[in-house]
Amino acid sequence: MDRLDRNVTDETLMESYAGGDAGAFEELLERHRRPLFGYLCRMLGSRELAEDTFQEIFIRVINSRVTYKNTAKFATWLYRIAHNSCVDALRRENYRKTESLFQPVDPRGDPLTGSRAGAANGGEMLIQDVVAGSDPGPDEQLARKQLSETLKKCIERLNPEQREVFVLRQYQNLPFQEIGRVVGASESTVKSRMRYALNNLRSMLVAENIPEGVTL
Amino acid sequence: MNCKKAQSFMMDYLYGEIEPHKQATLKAHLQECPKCAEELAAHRATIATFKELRPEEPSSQLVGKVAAAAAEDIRRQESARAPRVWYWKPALAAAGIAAVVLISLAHFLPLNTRSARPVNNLIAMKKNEKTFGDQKARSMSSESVGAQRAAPSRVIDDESAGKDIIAKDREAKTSRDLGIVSSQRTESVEAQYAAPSRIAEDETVTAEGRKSATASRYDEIAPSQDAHNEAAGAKTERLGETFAAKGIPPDSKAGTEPVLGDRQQQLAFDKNIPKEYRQEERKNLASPPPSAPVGQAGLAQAGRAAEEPAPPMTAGASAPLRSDGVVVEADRMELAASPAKQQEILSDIEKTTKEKTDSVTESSKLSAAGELKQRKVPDEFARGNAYFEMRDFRRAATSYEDFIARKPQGRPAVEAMHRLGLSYQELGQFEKALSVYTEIIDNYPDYSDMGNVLMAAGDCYLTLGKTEDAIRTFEIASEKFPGLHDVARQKIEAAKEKTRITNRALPK
Repeated sequence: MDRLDRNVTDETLMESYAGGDAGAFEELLERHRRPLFGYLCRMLGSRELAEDTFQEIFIRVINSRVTYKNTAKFATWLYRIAHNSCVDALRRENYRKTESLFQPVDPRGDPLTGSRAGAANGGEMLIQDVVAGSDPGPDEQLARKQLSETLKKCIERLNPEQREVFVLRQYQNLPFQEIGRVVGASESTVKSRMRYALNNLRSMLVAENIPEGVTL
Repeated sequence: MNCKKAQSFMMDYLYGEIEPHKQATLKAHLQECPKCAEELAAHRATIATFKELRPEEPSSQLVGKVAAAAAEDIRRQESARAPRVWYWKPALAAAGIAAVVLISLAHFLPLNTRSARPVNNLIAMKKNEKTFGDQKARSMSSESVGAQRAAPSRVIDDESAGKDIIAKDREAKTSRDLGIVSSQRTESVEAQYAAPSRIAEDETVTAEGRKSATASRYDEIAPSQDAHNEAAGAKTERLGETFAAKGIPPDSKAGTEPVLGDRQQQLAFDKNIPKEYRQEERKNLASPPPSAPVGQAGLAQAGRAAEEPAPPMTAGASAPLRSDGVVVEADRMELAASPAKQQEILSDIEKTTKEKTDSVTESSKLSAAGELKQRKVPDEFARGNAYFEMRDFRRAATSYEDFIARKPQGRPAVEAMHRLGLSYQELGQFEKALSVYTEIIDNYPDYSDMGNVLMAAGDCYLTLGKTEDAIRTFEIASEKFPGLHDVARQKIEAAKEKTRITNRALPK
């Protein structure tokens, strides 16, 4: 079987790995490492914590190799494990950080009310600072980096439930129904969280003086 | 279509999940509802802004580590598979042998404990021994003494009695060696079979080689000497110890034995006894011979014994004396005067043995039940832990509740409560979680993870809006557990901030 053949589904690869094919696991790892790590970074807000959790998730996958049953989409199963690992990691961090799953406290302001805590770089960001140019100079590169950081912070400031739905839909491209299975909620609840997430993000962009529709 | 429905369709539309007919419906609504149209445009712009955010990449080192772990897991499992083929066979064989031994013991031991036959055989053997001794004392030469001396051994080896006794005696020893039967049961078996086993040992119970072995042994004795009496005398010395232990003077018990009633039948099995000797035996059987004196005391009374009726059964040469000096019930049988008395004592022994057996069975049952109970309790705890790790908090909570309902003691109890509280918390049942935490705080002040319990309780208070209680709990955690000081202070500040926000929001 050609591992790089995208027609080979994740589920088939996982079954091959369950049968003792280490190459199948490597292909799965290759397919999911970036989106999964991005999801973890967005959810946990720390690269270090994301690395630990990334390793933990795949250890769980490895340990579940023998008992794996092809009853759901592999991505759904993987992100379900990831979701649980994130909840664990956040609980562990709960005593070290003020923010928790149940009581998010944001000292920078309340995103729900749209109250402004100030631009990340201390000043108003203009569209020309962030629009991609044909030949980006050092200033433009810096502006892009700043915008990227601001967007990440905006996502981090979301309520964890909204954040998770937004990240899974926006970056992991999971359908709403699958997201519901991952987070243990109904599809309508997931859509509702997504709507709130988009509204809050728009408020934050306005608060950060980032024009809507701007792209990197 | 109302706006709420349109908002749901909007999400599908924005990410390309909408079905064509829904899209048409949404389009129609958007043309009528400018507010929803505006919202859709805003969402689209927000999505476009965040679309280009590139996800971070994990380091190649991390990916390599994970891939190596997966390959190692496969390698380990494959290497573990091969030895398993090697090792399960001996393990299975050992289990099979153990099962056979246990079944054998279970089959024979209850018979041993209940059956009176060995005791009767014991009596029979002793009587035979004395009969032969008596005959020898009267008429036999030294050579025939050897033969006669072998006769009781053969009786022991008799298919109807000796083998049974020896086999059961060995079983009893095996049982003791294996430590499988309870001490009570062992005592009972030992009490019944100690005497035959000693006789068997004394008589060198080897089927075919017995005769020559016995002869050579007795060849060392002067032909004119009464070998049996000497042997009996030696045995009486041991008996003396037994009596001393019982507080009974040996002399008062030493004497003659009655003749065995079914002697003829037993002789029929003994093919090694010379024909002439058998004939003489039959004569003796026709008219019961006078009892022979046994031991030194018996010798002193020999003349008197010839005229007197048979005294009570002698304790014989093999009165069982346990290592602790307690003479067991089989002694009573040997000391019994009449068959009726023997029967009475036998019934007594049977009754006692049954009681002991029942007691053992009952205690075994209780013990097994206790073990089951003991085993079940940690199972529930372990099950709870497994569910907890799987984040199935509903089942975890149920398992912990079951475990706690058994009122366990010690660290598992408090750990289960702690985890139960966390499970409740995960399930959003903060009141219940708080109740559990309060119980831990009240009843287990020395719990090693008390700091985290306090913090969790504080979180529950905070979530339930009991900010003052939360602050107080966090303050206690901060004071008592320096390691949690910073976190607790942060939580206190957060709680105070929440109070300020709430107060501000409340209408004056």
